[in-house]
Amino acid sequence: MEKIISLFEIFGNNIITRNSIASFFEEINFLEKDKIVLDFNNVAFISRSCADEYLKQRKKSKKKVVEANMSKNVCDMFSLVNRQYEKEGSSILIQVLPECNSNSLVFA
Amino acid sequence: MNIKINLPNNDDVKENIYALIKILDEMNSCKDNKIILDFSKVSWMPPCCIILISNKVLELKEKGLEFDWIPSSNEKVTSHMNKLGFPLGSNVDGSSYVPITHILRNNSDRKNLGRKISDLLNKIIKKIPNNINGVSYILAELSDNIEDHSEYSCASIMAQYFPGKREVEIIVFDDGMTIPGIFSKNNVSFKNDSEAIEKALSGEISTPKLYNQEKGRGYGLRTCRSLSTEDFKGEVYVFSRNGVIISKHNQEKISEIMKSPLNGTLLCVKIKLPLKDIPFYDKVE
Repeated sequence: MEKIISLFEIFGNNIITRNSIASFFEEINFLEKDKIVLDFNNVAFISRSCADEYLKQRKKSKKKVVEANMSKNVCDMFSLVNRQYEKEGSSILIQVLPECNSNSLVFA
Repeated sequence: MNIKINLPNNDDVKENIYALIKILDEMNSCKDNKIILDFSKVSWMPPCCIILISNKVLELKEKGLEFDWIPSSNEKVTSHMNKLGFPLGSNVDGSSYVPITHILRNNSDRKNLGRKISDLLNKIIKKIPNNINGVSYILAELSDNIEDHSEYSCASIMAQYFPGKREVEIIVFDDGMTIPGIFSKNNVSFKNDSEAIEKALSGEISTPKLYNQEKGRGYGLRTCRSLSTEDFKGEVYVFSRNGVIISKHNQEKISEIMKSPLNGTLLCVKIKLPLKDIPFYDKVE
């Protein structure tokens, strides 16, 4: 069974500051359910730092996290972070393949 | 204690901040239980000065000092200061500006700063005609640095749009450790405080020993500067401890050392909005 969390209800329409995202993942990591659906509906903007922190926390989390209803703007920010990691030649975290048609992040 | 506010009465950010630091030092050295700031001779005060004095007033009030002020004999200056929320901030925004928001550190609510910035962001993007992503990016990254690095007690932020000039001004101040202070704490070497600021603006991270954990960092200030000065053809001013770096579109960077330190970090970004949206996600590195 899964738990669906509306990010709009937690953060509002903008997700800003690494600390916010880090704190959020600390909370969801304590949830009982193993599968967590993060609903990005009505989230208009995520900062670059937040997107970076989100991906790091997402990778570390033992929960099965799935994204839903991500706007193109939010997808584009995750793509931007992905490009920056690729330029650094890093394979620690990312290749992130945002599939904005299905509104979900796919980790390769 | 009465303190006369003597400023250059012009728009030059650097001149004004240099003059203001002396005033902030006087305020710090007040041994009385009341400060009266005398703005009567002030005929212009740029927003970066208003925000700095506001932050200092709040700090001193939190320590128990009483505060009062003598307004400028120039009504426009007093009206401007009131609208921008001098001194304790305001929730009432104007048609083209979001007044000073003071944010006190709240260790028990780690989402607090993010929510406050989000509110401010929502207000300013309603006032600008385009390039919402670019403005959002700059405001968000500058704000994130406050929480991530500075160990601030009070952060002060404001944003203003000048429709006649199509200019956006974003000002962020924190009373925290300063950029050189953070670098020193993390054993990052630098010759002087301006070099420390330049390293931060160039993407050097404050925790290089944790590099594997820190991949993906160092982009915030760097991209804010390039976006502001190259794509938006604007200006970025950074004052932190004794260091000053000023970057302007198509001009040589200015790097100076101040005789007296600023106890915190002030970032002032002025950008010109083009007539159309710039392809933001393509432009940012």
